Amino acid sequence: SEETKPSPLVKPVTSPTYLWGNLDVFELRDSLHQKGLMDAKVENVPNGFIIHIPSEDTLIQIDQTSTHIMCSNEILRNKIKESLIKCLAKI
Amino acid sequence: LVMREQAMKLVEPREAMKELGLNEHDVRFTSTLTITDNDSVAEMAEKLMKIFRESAQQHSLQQSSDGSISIADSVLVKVSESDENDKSVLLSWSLQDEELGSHLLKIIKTKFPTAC
Repeated sequence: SEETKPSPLVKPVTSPTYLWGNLDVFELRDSLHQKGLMDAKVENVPNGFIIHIPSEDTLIQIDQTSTHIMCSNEILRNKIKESLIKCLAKI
Repeated sequence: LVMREQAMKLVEPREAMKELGLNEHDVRFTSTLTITDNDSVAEMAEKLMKIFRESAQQHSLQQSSDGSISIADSVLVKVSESDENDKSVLLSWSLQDEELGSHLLKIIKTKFPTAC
């Protein structure tokens, strides 16, 4: 049988979200706690903060202008993304 | 659409934010997959290039001398040795390329047996 090829990507139908402002790390941590990630902890690092979720082997690096989410679990990554977008101003 | 001195002009969102004095907040994701595969790192990177040529064909695609692959503006893929039988595939992308990044992650997962 003929091998099925993945369909080429179409342009996204949703507009990209542009985020701005500083992130309140404690607001993000509280939002993650509300989503059941009770072991999310804020740690101070020289350039900002890290939120560590040891049970999920996940790190969120935060400084004044950027946030980097290192997470290999798609369900969890989407939860973090939702919380983060809620905590930042957007256009 | 930015209005200044009674005139309106259309600019890129990033430029508009700069003009308005807003501090853009960059959001980036990194996911790492452990793939069970006996191929070399270079062979695995070549397999991924082939998949991306088919599934992200309207986006720019480049492979650098260290083997890492970049797609569109912000998607970066890097293969490394995990242990004797496994490879680590790191996929990183910005929020602006969320559709593309998460789609490519899904494709890699369906094409290769993942160890976890």
